[in-house]
Amino acid sequence: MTPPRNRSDAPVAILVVAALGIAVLVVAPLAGLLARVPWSGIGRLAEPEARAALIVSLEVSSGAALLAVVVGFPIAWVLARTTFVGRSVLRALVLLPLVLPPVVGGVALLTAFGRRGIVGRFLASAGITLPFTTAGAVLAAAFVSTPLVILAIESGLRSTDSRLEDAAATMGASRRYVIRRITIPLLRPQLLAAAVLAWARALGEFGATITFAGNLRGRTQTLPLAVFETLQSDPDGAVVLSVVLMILSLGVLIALRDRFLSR
Amino acid sequence: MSLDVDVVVDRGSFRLSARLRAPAGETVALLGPNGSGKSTLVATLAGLLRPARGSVSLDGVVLDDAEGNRHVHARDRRVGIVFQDLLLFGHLSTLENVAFPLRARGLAAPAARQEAAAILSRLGAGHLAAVRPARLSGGQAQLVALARALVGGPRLLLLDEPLAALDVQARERVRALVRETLSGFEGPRILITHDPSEAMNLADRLILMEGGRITQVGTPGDIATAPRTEYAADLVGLNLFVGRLVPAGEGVGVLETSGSPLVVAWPRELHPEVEHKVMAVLRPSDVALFPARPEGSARNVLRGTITAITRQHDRSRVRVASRPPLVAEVTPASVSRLGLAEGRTVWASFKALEVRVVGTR
Repeated sequence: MTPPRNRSDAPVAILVVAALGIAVLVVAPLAGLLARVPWSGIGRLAEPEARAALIVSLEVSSGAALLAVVVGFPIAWVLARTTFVGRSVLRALVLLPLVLPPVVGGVALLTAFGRRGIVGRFLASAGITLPFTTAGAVLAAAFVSTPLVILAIESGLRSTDSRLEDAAATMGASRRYVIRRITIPLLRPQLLAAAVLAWARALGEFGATITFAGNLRGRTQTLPLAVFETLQSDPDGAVVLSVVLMILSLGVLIALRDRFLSR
Repeated sequence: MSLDVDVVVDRGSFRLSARLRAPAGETVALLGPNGSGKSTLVATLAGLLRPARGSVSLDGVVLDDAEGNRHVHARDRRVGIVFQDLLLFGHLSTLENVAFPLRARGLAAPAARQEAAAILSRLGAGHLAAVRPARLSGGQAQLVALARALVGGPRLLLLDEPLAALDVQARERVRALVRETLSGFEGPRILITHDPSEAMNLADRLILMEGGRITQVGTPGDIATAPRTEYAADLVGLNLFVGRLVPAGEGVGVLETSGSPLVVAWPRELHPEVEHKVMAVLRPSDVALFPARPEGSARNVLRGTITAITRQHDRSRVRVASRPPLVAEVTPASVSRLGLAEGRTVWASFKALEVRVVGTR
């Protein structure tokens, strides 16, 4: 722990810009939202449309977080624990969805897993459809949140002591056994943080979801999509849904604060 | 039954060249300063590093053969290791730590735990079974690491600095146990240490390593009587001089050192009329110290500043930064009588007869 700094040490310019940033990026939007909440209309949350969107959102986020960790851990392990030519290219590729506009991700998913996509046509002949299904929404959300999981787990793997894994190997443990009994247990806090982060990112996902999975109420319409749709006809309803999303996201960040964000 | 090593191992810019043989039933101590290559050798024997050249074999089974492109993976070697930092698994109990090698090799959990418990109680640590490593004392953690190295019948035992992290009291207890463990183990056993007293205390044979090379192999007695390097001489507490020995009259010679030339008695086994490149030792107890330039028969008188005084039991070792540097051994009483202290300038003297030529190069 660094000792707390005397506030008078901080340059005035830094403090001014920080205050300005907080005002513009945090306080104003938050205050705007809260000022517009039609407290009398809070009962709208109980309406089937809002409830359906909330349930779809929870399903999709949870499914995407699970998928992201299940897929992200092996990718992170390969990046952190092996060396091969083209590793940095692979890392750039798997992190691409982080900087790609989600809409572009949705288009890419359509060209791959759409009914006539290069993979989708085989899935279709096997009777599996992804576009415009809840599973498709999960895939779209996992697409954007897996890079976060990879980053979190890879840095976790790099900071755990690989000598413990070497020691386990000298005791006769196979690589798989080492991962199961040493690596994963040691990495549990980071795995948890990665899952929560993925869940939060998936909760806010909009572009890839609407492009690939559409906006079908009760199936692929998540809270962000519902907010967008409601805004056209019923701005008050959109505000209520937005506040719900905000509370969920803030809750996740507060739960994470010690594990991941403060480092 | 023995361990046979003849390897060159590259680790970044560091290169280890080592050739050694450790017979079963003998304890070999690898002794060397930091950076001498001890841990590189341990990692190679463990199978965590591949030699660039040469081979390692244990009981006639080839574990490494760089030329033949053979490398037995660490998990298949059956080497029991106590790592320098122990590397106990913090998320597992003591019992599960000790059971780990058995379970990793496929033994069912209940049987593995039973065997682990048996070995823990044999080492007097049975009551620690449920404790997590973070809650163990230094000595207890060392016992657990020892138990984990012994479980499952290893063919080779490697103990890397097993006493280094312990305080004096724990060290006495663990040392006794390590000695017992070593003598009870049938295969080759290798003790890595930088503490000479520990090496001499526990090992049958010493291998000295410096800068990635083996510089001397021998029993503690061999090394004490004829150290081959400055490090070896320092280990056994002797002064070592290396240089040209030039005839200087009847029965005497002059040894040209890094500093002043020393007058020494001409060794009988050397041809009397030619120069030789030799190593010579001088016992610290043969060096006398004086606050002023002494009168007398001693042929060698050097002047220097005292850089360190260390007390060992009934005597004090005084380091003098003369040229060449010297270590003198005097009684604590003379330290106070002569007013010796770090930073003081003293005169050191010793007789020509007391410099003993131990070998030629």
